[in-house]
Amino acid sequence: MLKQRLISCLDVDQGRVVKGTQFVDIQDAGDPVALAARYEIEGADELVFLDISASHEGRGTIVEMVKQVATVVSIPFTVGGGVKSLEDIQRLLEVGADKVAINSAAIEAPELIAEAAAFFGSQCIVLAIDARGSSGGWEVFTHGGRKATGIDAIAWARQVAELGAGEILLTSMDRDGTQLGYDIALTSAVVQAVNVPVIASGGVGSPADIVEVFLEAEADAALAASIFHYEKYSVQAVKEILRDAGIPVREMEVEQ
Amino acid sequence: MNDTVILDVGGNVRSVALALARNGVTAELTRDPAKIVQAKRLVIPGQGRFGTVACLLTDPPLRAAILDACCSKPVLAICVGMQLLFERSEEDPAFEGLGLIPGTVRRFEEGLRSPQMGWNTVEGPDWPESFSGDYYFAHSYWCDASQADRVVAWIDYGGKKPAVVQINQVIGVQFHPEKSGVLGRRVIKHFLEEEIC
Repeated sequence: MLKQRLISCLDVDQGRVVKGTQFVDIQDAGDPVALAARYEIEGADELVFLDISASHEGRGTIVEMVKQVATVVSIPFTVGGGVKSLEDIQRLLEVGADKVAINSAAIEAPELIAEAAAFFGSQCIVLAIDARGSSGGWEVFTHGGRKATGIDAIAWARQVAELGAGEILLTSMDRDGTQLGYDIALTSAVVQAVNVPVIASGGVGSPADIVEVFLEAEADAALAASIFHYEKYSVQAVKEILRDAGIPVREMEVEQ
Repeated sequence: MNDTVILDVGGNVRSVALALARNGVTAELTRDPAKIVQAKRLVIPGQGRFGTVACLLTDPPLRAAILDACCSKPVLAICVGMQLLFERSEEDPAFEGLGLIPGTVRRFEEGLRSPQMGWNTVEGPDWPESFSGDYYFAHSYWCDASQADRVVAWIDYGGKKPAVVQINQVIGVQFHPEKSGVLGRRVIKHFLEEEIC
């Protein structure tokens, strides 16, 4: 059966990982290549690189980073942050990204989703949706959760799935950084509303939060970053806890 | 372990090239029928949709070269590449597959999350134990093989569905071996080491 996925997220600024895991034996904590390789060995099911570079020049460096990361990883990785056009998507796929995440660009021009899906295939187009609670529901926010769009998050999720997004990366901006757990109500609402896989993101503080988002919200995947920082929890330790809770996860295969 | 070519279908073909390079094989990306005919091994990667790749087959020399390869040398067909081995696909009904394996590529049934995205267990009586385990899948259509004897291994996704098929020295895998960690590398290594009959 299909396993539920544990995805490691790395924020990248001008080609360097920021706030990444401080592995004791990796000297350069900002090196995306070393961290990606390490996460693969640790048993992460997938990786997401989010480009948080503020400037246009900074964003150009992500292509070089993808090229290098692709040479060392044998697990899927998604790249997002500032992706605006079919050309951007093409460039990232050509240098080795498996999936590309789009966010604000899709809000501004939803037809981009359909075009990208038709051209590249739904399976490599991830729609990142950042949402905050609002008037009994949730509203889509852009620009790092700062700019309100007035768009209902559940309705937007339905729309992107219809347009051809292969996956939704759903981040609760209310929970992000709080370590208070994922927004179960939001995640559950989106999971029920669409037929594409949903990655839950924002708020994880402990493995129990990941158990909860899998069992209660039925998320297909859980994105985690901070719980791996400073080697607070290892990927295997988290997977052990998930297994004990009856959640199907990928077993790690070791080199023979 | 030389003279391997990868059919250039566009998209992320680099991951497959890198996976081969890790085994010391520098494969050329090509759509040139002559190069495919000369090559000792062919990889058909899984990028885009059925129509994207099947469209390439509407060029007679290229179709002939690929069919010839499928009858005479080791071929690794990945994801959409595996789907291409079949007769047709519901994804793009206007195009024909290679028709080497009887069956139709179908959309996932109602109630199943689509695409199937993630790790699923590949098993089968003819699939070696050392290859059994979880591989990465990313697809919205599945190969409904009408002959079970072409199917080497299965996954369970809304019931048993083919994960690996074989005909001659052609092996079709619905998963992405270049993205399936240690087990995926094992599959690629095995393909590259396969004797050329």
